[in-house]
Formats: sequence, C-alpha cells, structure tokens
Amino acid sequence: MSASTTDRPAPLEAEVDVPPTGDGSGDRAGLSDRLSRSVAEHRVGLIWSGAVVVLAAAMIAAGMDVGAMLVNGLGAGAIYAMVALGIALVYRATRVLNFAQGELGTMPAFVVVLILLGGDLDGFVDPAQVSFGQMLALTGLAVVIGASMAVAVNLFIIQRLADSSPVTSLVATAGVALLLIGVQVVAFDLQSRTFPQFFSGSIRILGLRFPSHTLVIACVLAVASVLLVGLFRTRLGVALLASAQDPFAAELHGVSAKAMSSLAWGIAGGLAALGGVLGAGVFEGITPGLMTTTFLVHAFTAAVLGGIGSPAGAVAGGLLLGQVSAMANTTTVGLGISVPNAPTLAAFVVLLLVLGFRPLGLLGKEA
Amino acid sequence: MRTASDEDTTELAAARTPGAAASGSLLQVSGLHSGYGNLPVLHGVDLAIATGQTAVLLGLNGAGKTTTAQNICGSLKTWAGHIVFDGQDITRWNTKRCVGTGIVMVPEGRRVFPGLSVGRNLQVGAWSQRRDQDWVDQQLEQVLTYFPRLRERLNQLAGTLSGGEQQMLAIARGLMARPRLLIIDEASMGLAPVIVKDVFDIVRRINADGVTVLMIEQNVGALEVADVGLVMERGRVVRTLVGDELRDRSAVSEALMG
Amino acid sequence: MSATTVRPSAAPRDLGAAGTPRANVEAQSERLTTGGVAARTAVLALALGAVGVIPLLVAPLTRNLLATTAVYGMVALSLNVLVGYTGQVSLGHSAFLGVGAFGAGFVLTQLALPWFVGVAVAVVLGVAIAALLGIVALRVRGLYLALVTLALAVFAERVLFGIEPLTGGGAGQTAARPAWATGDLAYAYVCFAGLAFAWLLDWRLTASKAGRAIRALRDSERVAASWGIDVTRYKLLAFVTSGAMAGLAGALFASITEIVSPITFSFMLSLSFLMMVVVGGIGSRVGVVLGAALYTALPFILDAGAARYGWFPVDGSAAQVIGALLLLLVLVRFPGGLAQLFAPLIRWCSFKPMRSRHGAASATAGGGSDVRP
Repeated sequence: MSASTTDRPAPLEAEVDVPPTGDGSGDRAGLSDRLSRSVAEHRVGLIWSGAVVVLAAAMIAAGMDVGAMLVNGLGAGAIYAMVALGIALVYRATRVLNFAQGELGTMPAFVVVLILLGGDLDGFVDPAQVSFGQMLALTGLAVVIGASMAVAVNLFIIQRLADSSPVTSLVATAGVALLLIGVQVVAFDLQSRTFPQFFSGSIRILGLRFPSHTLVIACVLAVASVLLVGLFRTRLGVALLASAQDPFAAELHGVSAKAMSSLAWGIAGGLAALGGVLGAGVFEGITPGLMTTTFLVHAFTAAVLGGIGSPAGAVAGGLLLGQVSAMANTTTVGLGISVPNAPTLAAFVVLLLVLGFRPLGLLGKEA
Repeated sequence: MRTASDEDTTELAAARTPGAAASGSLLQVSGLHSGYGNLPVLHGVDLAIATGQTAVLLGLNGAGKTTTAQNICGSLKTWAGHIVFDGQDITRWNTKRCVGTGIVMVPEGRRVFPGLSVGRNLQVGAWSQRRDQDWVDQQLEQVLTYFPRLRERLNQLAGTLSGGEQQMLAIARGLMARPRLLIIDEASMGLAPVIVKDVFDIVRRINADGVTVLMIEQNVGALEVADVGLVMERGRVVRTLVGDELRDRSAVSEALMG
Repeated sequence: MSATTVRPSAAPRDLGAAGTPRANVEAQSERLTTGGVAARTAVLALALGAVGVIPLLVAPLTRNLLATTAVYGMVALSLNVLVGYTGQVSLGHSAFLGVGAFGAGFVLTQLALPWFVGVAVAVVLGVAIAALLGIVALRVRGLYLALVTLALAVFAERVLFGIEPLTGGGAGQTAARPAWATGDLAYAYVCFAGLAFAWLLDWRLTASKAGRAIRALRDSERVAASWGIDVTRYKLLAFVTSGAMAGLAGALFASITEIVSPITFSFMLSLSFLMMVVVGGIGSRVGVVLGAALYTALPFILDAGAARYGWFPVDGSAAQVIGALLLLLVLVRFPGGLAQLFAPLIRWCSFKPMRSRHGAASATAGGGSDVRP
C-alpha cells in the first residue's frame, strides 16, 4: 500500500498475522509433528529464551536477587506489553506506528487526577483517601476518554492522511503526542503529582514478594489479551482484519474503512488509558509526558521484538523485554558496574539486534 | 432473492420514474464525467443495462472501463452526469449505500483477503447482510455449489490459493453481498484459457439465477456470454453491440479497431 | 472527497510533495531581465543587511536567543537534508546536537584544546554517529528507521550523556567560547556565520550532481537505482552531511550558555526540530530556517499578544501546544508549510522567473491534492 523504497523484502511490508488457531489448517498431523514444526519455526525465539534462562541461572549462582528481578521485570514488562498491544493493534489495522500511544494514556490519567482534585489544578491527591470503587469508576472513565481521543485522532488526522506514506502518519502522531504533552504542561506545570494505586502493599506468592499493583497490572493485561483474542474470532473482528489487509476490497463489500480503523484506534486508546492509569500507579506519581518518556520507546521495542502487528507478539515481547531490562539493572548493580540507565541501554541493544537479525520479530510471519 | 425492502425500493422507483421500471432498465448511465485527482478519464459515458442481462464493457487499457465501474459502485467521485439504478439516482452515493442497494463490484486483481481463510473471506463478503443470518447461510450453500473447489478449501488461507481459485473466491465473496448487479472487473486477467472458460460458465449460471452482471473485459471472448456489448474508447462508449452482432466476428473487430 | 478511501491509481501524497524542486525545471527556459536581476540583488542585499544588523538592535539579553535561533536553524537544515531530500524521518536529531555539544565541551574543558579543535571534533563525532545511523538505514525501512532514531535519542539522553567521565553526568559539561568572541554580541555573529556556512553547504549540495542523486532517492530508491544511482553511496552521503551540520551546530550550541547538561537533549527537542522542518516546509531551505525562527519567536509572540490583546496569559509551554497544532495543520492541510505560503516571494528572491498565472496556480493548489506539482 505504501510506496516501497527498497529492494529487500522489507520487514514492515511482510504480512504479519496471528495463525488462524481455531480454524486449523485442515491438516490433521500428529501432535509431535506439529510440535517439531513449531520448534523449527520458532527456533530463534527459543534460542533467545534459552539464553535468558541460562543467564538467570548464572545470576542466581552469583548471588544476585533473581526473585526481585523477576517481580520487577513483570511489573515493567506488563506495562510495556499493554502499550505495545495498542501499538500492534493500530499498526495491524491501519499500518501506522502510533507515536501518541503513550500520551493517549497520560491524558486520561491526568483527567483522573483532575477529578480527584475537584478541579484544583495546583493540589495534590492523597492516595490513601481514594477507595477501590472510586478508582474503578475513574479508570472506566479514563478508558472512555482514551478511546474517544484515539477515535478523534483517527478520524480527523490519520484518515485524512490515508493516501500518504506511513511515515507522514508517524510524524502526525508525533505531533499529537507533542500537543498532548504541551496541554498537560500548560495545565499542570512540570510538577509531579501523586497518583493512587488500586491496591497498595504487597503479597507473598511462592516465596516472592509481589507488589499488589504489579498483580493488578498482570491481571488487566491477561483480561485484555483474552478479550482481544475473542474479538478476532467474531464477525466484527474478522471484518476488522479484512479492512486491515485490503481496505478497498473490504469497502466494496460494505465494510467501512473509517469504522474499522476507528474501532482499532478506539480499542488502542482504551488500552493506552489503562496503561496510563496503571503506569502512573507504578510510580505512584504522574508528570507530563510520563508514558512517553518512561515507556514508549520500550513499548515500541517490545512490539518490534514480538513482531510488529502481532498482538500476541506484543504481549510476549513486552514481558520478555521487561525481564531483560530488569536483568540489565540487576547485573550492572550486582557487578558494581556503573552504567547510567541500564534498562534503556538494554532496550536499545535489543532493538538493534532484532532489526539486525530478525526484523520480523519473534511471532511475525511472512505473508 | 427479493425481500420486502427490495420491493419498497422498486415501488418508490416506479413512482419516481415510471419509464424506467417499464423498460426493465436496471442501470442507466448518462453523460458521465469522472477521473482521478486532476486527470479526467471519462468524457461523457452513456450506457444502459436491463435487468437480467449480462453486459460486457469492452475496451483496451486506459479506455476508462474500471473508472466507469468505480463510479457505478460508488468508490470514485462523479464529476458530472447521472447514474440511475432501478429508478433511483445514485450518482452521489458512496460505496456503502451502493452495496446496500445491491451493487457489488468484484475488483480488478481479485483482491481476496490474503491472511483470512476462504470461509472468513466469504463471511466478510456477507457483512452487509449480517442481520439476516438465515439468508447468509443459504447463500453460502448456494455459492459453494457454484464453486465446489472452494468448499474443499474452506479453511485454507486465501493467499495460498491459485489465481483461478482466487478469482472464484472473489466472485463468491461478491455474491455473498446479495447483489442485484454484480460488476466483475477483469476476471480473465492473467488466467489460463481453461480457467477463463470456467469463469465465464459461472457467469452464465449466476445470470440465469437472477443476478444482472456487468463484466469489464479486454478479452473479446467475454462476448460469448454477453447479451449486450459496450465498447469503450478514450472515456466514451463508442459502440453498442446486441444480438447477432455479438457473434459476428467482423462486426466486433470493426467496432474495436475502426 | 466524498469517495471512499483508497483510489488505486491515485498518486500518494507524501511528506514534502509540495516542495519538490522538480517544479522549477520547466520554467528555467525563461530569462530574467537586467532590471529583474538588479531588483532582486538589491532586495536580497537589503534583507541580508537587515538580518545582519538585528543583533546590534536587540536588547543585550536577547542576543543569546538569536544565537540559539541560528543554531536551531542549522539543525533544521541538517534535518531537512534527511527528511526533505531523502525522505528519511529522523526523530533523533537531539542526539546529534548533544554529541556535538558534549564532544566540543569535552575537548575544550577536559583536554583544554583550542576552540577550533573542539568544533572539528564535534563535526567528526556528528559524522560518525550519522554514518552508523546511515548503515542502519540501508537495512531497514523508513518506519523502522524512525523508531531507531527515536531510540537513539532516548539512549543518548539517558545513557550516553550520562557517562560522567565523558560528559560530567548530571552536573553538565562546560564549554567556553573562543577567546576572540567571548561577548554575547560577538558570539551571536559567530552563530550567524555558522548558519550561513550550513546554508551555503546545503546550497552547493543541492546544486550539485550529488544533490540531485540524493533527492532522487526520496521518491523511489528502486527507480533511482535503475537510473544507475548508487543508492548506498548517496544515502550515506546524505546522512553524513546531516550529521556534520548537526555536529557543528552542537559545538556552537554548547558555547552559547557555556554549559550543557543531558536533560536539554531530550526526544522532545527532536520533535521540536521535526516541527520546525514540517511547519517551515519540507525540502525548502528558507522554509525550515523560518520554521526555526518561528519556534524560538513563538513564546514571545504569545506573550506580546497576551499583553496587548488580552489573550489568555500562558507561559512558554503554550508555544509547544501552538507549535504542535501548526504541525498537524500543515500535515493535513498545507503540506508545503511556510514555504508554500511564501512561495511566490521565495521564488522571486531565488532569481527565477515568475511562472505564468496558470503555472503558479496549479503548483500552489491546496494541500489536499493528490497529484504532485
């Protein structure tokens, strides 16, 4: 659809698809056959995972606190996964890399703060005063706001740029992010505000101490993933996929490209809002541009790692990257090497490695 | 295949333009001007297709056949002129409305959804009829009877089908949208003659079962199944061939070359 | 456009479509009169003179701001080489600026070498990073490249510029001005000279065979290759030129405030540079420099407006909001940006004959057109 500019089978042009699981391939091969085929296909991913496991073992041997690392990794990774999921969805449906995926989440989170402050732009929220019910209601509102904003972005900007190259759309989403951050700064200054969590404290599971907030994020991620898988099995989900693969042909059969793309963007916006609320909860504080500065690059890396356009890949990539980041942190601290911001370094290295050796990512497939 | 809403439309149409219903003309295009961006392609196209006919729009590359088709099915903006379908002026209608009233186009180059299975492709085709699930199930059966090979490959990814199979799928998908007028753009392009014959046979069957068909072709062989041939050249219909003229080789070549 | 989305035969409307130099080709056959040449020369001389005199006229406190504007103009020009000429989007030019700034600072302060050495090192560093990025660009497509540049920007800000021995970490790195230009006024002129140098470099590049080859890459690399253009060589050349300009800008930048810290070089700054280029007019030298000027002037315009017309009083961050809105407006409605707005004037000043009414009209026809001028 976009003008191809290189001779190589360009990574982003390759059709990335979740294999039609329920449909099956009509091929009734035995389980062991399918297993060995699956192993062969995913051998790169398995090698990486194997390497990670070996590293973890080495770290345990070296006396580093792997348990804490795993927990931290989960907390970060789940947020990466949630943001990456939105990115993958938008890319799959409209071939656009949504640079505003972070800020579509920070804005609703700020609205939550605004409501809790009763409109007092200069105040500070006392997290202890916020009840679970309040959080639930406010999160629901945040999701609606995030979804609406995303749909607006799609209809007023992205659809108008439908004839242009995807790079133009990327720049447009960058503009949206810039705009949203600007609005946040105008309203709230550069000051950090406190932000409530659903549950504070931690729980002990299997000998590891999990912050309750981390468990909340993991649960929300799991539910969102299940819902998305379910969506793509419904008539509506299939129409969405069709519109993503060939909007013109879909349009000829009554499937409105605008409606389908808005659906995808809306869901992505809702996911972004969840990410914003939960992400702010991780730090128990929110600043303008939070989601973009803290999570966006990692989320993009996770999406690329998992295979851009693959929602399952985004989740897998996010969780994996979370562990890698935590590992980078733990090893450098444990070995006493002073590396500024090791997780960011790790993400950058991962991005370059993926693009260099397996641009399609772990779960991406050729058309 | 007519439903209550179809009958309403026809009655309204009859009230609006009594002549149209009487003559059995399903589609009337008059003085059509259109193009892409600033580039004009159509310079006043006139044509008429009666209900139940198989019409072939014949012409070389650049004559404006696909442009005409896109105007009829609502995916390209009409600059001037009128398109009347079953007595209703649909000139300004967008694709969704056109599909809703029974104008369905099978696009040039098949354009099946490569990442979806055959079954799912057909499911998407029926999107506009999704409220009437009984009809959809029925039509699916009908379509798989037309194309037995598709029934075998129901779970196969459309992108892995052969060219001929994809063409079948594209037509089947179009049929799932409940067309009164099915426009098939360049069905024979890039297909082996034996497959092309199969496609034309299908068109005969579909037509016999009540669907008006408009075929866009460069291949003169399409005239074998046609009731009326419309020859296009440089943005206009320059000749209309009916009856015996269609089988008369010399008349046809004269129309195309002369 | 009530028709539905994709029209298979429509030409894509891309970044910079309105600013392609191709539009100038047909009009070259006409000649200017002597009077025409004289008029243009006079006006340009006056304009340059006016610009040159500005630092003397403004309040002393604003001189650093002028210097910053000039430096941003250089970065905008460097970004334009990538975005405007080769069609590659970089979201990471803050990294180049920073590399140049910290490099120069390190050389000047830690190594105590003369100012010109600092500048030279900054340029070399800019070239090196750009070359690496260029090699990556050879392997991946535009969208992925944009991601890599974003990651580069974040990586540079958080990791690279945080390495204390090299950059002084959070405390920042000092970078003294050259001994012969320690005053604000003098240094502002140094930065102006830098901008002029970058402009000249860009001008010579676009006029050369290499420049034409580079711009051919934007539309389709495959087509360019079929014409015998060595895609690899020219793509790398574009990146390296961009890096050199940006590195130079960095060296000059460091000495404006004479101290730089990592936090200045954030991805937000990169986005601002992109905004300058897009709003100014992709592919247009004059446009992007105007874009840079607009960016730095915007807070002042807003303040003045608030004071005089009672607009809602806002601080500098409102400028960011307005800037972002302009960016979106330009992308959706006026792809040519400021350059498109001032197209006739720019054309007149470029010593080109004015087109006939018909030609001019079709070339500047609104942003929604999907046919390239």
